[in-house]
Amino acid sequence: MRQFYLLLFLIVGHTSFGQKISIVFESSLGAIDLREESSTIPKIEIENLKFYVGQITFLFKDKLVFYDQAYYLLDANDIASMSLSLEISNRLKYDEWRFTLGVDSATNDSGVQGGSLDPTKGMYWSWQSGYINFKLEGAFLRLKETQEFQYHLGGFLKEEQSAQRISFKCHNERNFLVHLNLEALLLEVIESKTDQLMSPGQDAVRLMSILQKSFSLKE
Amino acid sequence: MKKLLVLFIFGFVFFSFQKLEEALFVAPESWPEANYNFAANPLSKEKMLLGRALFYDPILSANNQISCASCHSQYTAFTHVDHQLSHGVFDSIGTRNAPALMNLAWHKSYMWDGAIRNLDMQSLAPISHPDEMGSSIEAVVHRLNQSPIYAKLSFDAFGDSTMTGAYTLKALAQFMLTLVSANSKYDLVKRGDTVFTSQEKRGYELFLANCNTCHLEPLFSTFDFANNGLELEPKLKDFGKMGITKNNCDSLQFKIPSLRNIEFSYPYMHDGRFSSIAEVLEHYTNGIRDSKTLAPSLESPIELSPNDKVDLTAFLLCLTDKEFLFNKEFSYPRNILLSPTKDY
Repeated sequence: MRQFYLLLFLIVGHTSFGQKISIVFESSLGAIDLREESSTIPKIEIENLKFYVGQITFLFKDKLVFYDQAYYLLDANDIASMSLSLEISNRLKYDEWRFTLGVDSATNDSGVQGGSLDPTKGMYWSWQSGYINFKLEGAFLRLKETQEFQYHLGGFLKEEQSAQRISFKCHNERNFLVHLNLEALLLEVIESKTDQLMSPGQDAVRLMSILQKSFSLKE
Repeated sequence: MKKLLVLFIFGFVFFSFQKLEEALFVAPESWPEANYNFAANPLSKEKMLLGRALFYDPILSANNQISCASCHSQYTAFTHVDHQLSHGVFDSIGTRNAPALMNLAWHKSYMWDGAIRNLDMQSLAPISHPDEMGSSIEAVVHRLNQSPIYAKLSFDAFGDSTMTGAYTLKALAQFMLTLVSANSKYDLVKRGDTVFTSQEKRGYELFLANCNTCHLEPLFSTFDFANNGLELEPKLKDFGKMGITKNNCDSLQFKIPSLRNIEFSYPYMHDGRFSSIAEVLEHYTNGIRDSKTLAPSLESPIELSPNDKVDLTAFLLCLTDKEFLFNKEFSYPRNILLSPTKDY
């Protein structure tokens, strides 16, 4: 009988405490990777890819049913960081979920933060206030030379707000694989001959807007 | 009766603690409300002490030779004197005059160009600037975690003996918040504890008529930005706030410094080009360079006779706060940073 109650407790406990939702991020260079080396589109080597994902929200019929205000720092060189796990109520229904790519203005403007937002994570500008929302570093391997690139995209002040909201429709799935295709971003910086961008402004906003459309859900 | 007694004791303890909490940051009466968000970084004696140790410890710099206090010396209103531009690691020279640190809770932004919007984040700039401390917050935290001194201070302050970037910056901000200067002769006069001499009084009237728009009392700055008509220094080519906002309207706009403790905080201006108050007054009466972004209040020349300048200077000296400049609570924490030797 004692064992029965223990089992019942575990089942009831499990039901009411909820289930895990897994969100895994991956990235690729898209079709650029498949191209032949040419004078216009170089081969690309990625050294660092880091970005903030936060404010993960689940909705049902446009109404908020779950909100996690935390920010997560995803680092492509640290595979474990690319997998997020959330605990939500087992009975929760949702047909849409979204997240913020980058750090919102209010968090940027509210003093020093710890955890994944600790300035020691290398994602805070020291020469001015503000988090780097998205960091991509590497090199263009051109026919005659190697050109290093660095894109530190951020900005939270009026007209420089670069954080993006990204939404997906869904049907109560528990596991999501989110794909980031860097092709559009890289084609844009190759086209505009931008090898370095490390300050807030309209260029950063433009590149972050491109990234906003570069995330997709993979089956 | 018993209930009443318990209630009384509870109330006494509660209000005593509240009073202690308040005493950690004393905002002078009649001053405007501070801008700093204390709720996001609640003050404690332990955090302030940690911040004070960090402020005076060259461990923050790449070569372990430059502390915050190297450029922000207490006896000169927490700025440097003698040289125009700040000096940093490996004998490097910066591009700006170190600003005086005081009454920082009332500032709206930090640095001459307003690049930093929150006091918590201010220390990151000098820590990582190659011509100042030449380090990084990551390296600083690593060094702090090798030190038994900081393991204890961190535990006392945050209940965690492992320092983090957030702890480091919060503690530094807390110490800097304590640097309140509000006991100059001007303050005593305002509180009715003394009176100006006739010369100082005349200087005060001249100040109100000519300077108070930008250097608004009682903080002696609006902490806004203004182009005060300085010629662009050709080597530094420092355009001030425009360097951050990339907006032409902000060209040559620099943060208006407070005039408190001006007697001890020379040289003056963002590039330290003036070494005396007389030179500053000469600039405002005869040296204003007109430009599209010139402060409206300077479009008509300020007219001061030689006698006016002497009287105005007499008033400006009334902004010296020796209690602040020599307050032992703000000084080098010998008992923490100096290891005891056999001599002690």
